[in-house]
Amino acid sequence: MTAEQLILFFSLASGFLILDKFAFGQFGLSSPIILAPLLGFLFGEPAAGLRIGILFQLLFLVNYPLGGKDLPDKEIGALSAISSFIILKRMSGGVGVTQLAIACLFALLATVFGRETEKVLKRVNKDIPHLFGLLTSFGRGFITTLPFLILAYFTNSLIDDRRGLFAVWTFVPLHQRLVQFFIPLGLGCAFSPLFSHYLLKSTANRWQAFGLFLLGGLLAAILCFLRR
Amino acid sequence: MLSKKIGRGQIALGLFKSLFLQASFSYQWRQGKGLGFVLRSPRLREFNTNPYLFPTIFGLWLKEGVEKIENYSQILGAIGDDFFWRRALPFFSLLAILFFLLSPSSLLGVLIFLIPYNCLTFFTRLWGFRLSYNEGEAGVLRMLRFLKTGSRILEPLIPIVIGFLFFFFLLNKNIFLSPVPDLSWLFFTLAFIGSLVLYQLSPIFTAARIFFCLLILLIFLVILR
Repeated sequence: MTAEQLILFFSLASGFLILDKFAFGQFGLSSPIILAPLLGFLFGEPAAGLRIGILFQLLFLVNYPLGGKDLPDKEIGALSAISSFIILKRMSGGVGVTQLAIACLFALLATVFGRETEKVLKRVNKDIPHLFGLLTSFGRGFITTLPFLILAYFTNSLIDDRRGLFAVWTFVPLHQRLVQFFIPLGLGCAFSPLFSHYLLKSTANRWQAFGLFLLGGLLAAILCFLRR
Repeated sequence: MLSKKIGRGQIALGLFKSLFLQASFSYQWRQGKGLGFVLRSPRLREFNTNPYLFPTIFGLWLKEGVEKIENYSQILGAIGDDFFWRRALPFFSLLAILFFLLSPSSLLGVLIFLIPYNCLTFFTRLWGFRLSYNEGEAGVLRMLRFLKTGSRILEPLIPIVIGFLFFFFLLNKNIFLSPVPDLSWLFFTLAFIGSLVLYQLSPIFTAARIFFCLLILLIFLVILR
C-alpha cells in the first residue's frame, strides 16, 4: 500500500474501531493495549505496536469514564500513534525510533482533539435518529484521525530533507540516544497516577495496598532471577 | 405483569439491541434515546446507567414496569461504573500488559484481555437480565451484591499487578528500547518520582501532560544540541 492509501485505510479503520468505544458493544477492542499491538502485528511492526499500546494504556488508565465524563481520547491517541508510525516508517525506513517519538507526540495532541470532537458528537447526537448515531461516531473517528495522519505524512518530508525542521534532530548521532529515552520517561510518568490511585488513595488500607505492591515486586524479582 | 406477553425471540432481540444503547449518547438525553430504542417507546427521557448493566434494567422493566427502572438505573450506574471502569478494566489491562511483557512475540496479551473481560461483561449482561426478569427488585439487589463482591476481590489484586509491572520495568533494562540501558532505569525512576510529586500537588499535572512536556523538552534539547 502507498502512504496515501494507508492514510485512507487507517482513517476508515479508526472510524470503525472507535464504534467500540461507546456506540456499539464496548467489547474492549478499542483499548490501546489491544488495538495498537494488533495493528502493529498486522503491519509488521509488533514491537512498536506493543510499546505504543503499553504507553497509552498506562498513561490514561486512571481516566475512568464515570458517568459519561469527557476525557482525553486514549483510543484515538493510540490509533493515531500506531498509524502515524507505520506511515512514517514505510515512507522513510530506518530504525524508527525518531518516527515513534514523533508519532507519540502527535498522538498526545490527538487525545485532546479527540475529546473535543467527542463533545461536539454528544451535542450533535441530541437531534438525530438513534441508529444514525453509529454514522456520526464513525465520522468522528474518521475526521479526528485523518488530520494527524496527514500531519505525519508531511512531517516525513521534513525528516528526509537535510535542510528541514527535523534535520538536526535526525542527523546528529546523539539524537538516537536522547530520543530513545522517551519510553522510560513516558512509563515513569504513567506509573505515578496508578501509584496514587491504587496505593496512596486506596479505599481499603493504604499499608495493605503498599504491602501487596511490594509482594508484586518480589514476584517480579523472582521471575527475573529465574529467567536469567 | 408484562413478562407474560413477551416471547423469547423478542427478549433476544431486546438484548441484542441493548448493545446499541449508547449509539446516540448525548449530553441532554444521555442513554435516553437508546432506552427508547430498546423498549420501543417514543417518549424521550434522560437516562443513564452502566452499559453492561442495562440488561438488568431491561429485565426489571419487563417484570415490573417503567417506574422501577428510574429507581435503580442510578445506583446500578454508580456501582457498575466503580466495578467495571475502576477495577475490572484496569485489572485486565494491566494483566494484558504483564503477559505482553512476558511473551512479547505473541499476541497472548490480546487474548488475556479480550476473553476474560468479555466473558465477565457478557455474564453480567445475561445473568443480570435473568435475575431481574425472574426475581424483579430482589434480583437487582443480588446483582449489586455480586458487583460489590467483585470489587472487593479485584481491589487487592490491582496493587500486586502494579507492583509486578513496576519492578519488572526496573529489572529489565532492555525493555525500554534504549541503547544505554543503564541510564533508562534512571530516567524511568526520575520521571516516576517527579510526576508523582507533581500529581500530589495538583490533579492538573496528569501523567499525559507531564509526559507531553518532557517529550517537547527532549526534542528541544536535541535540536539545540
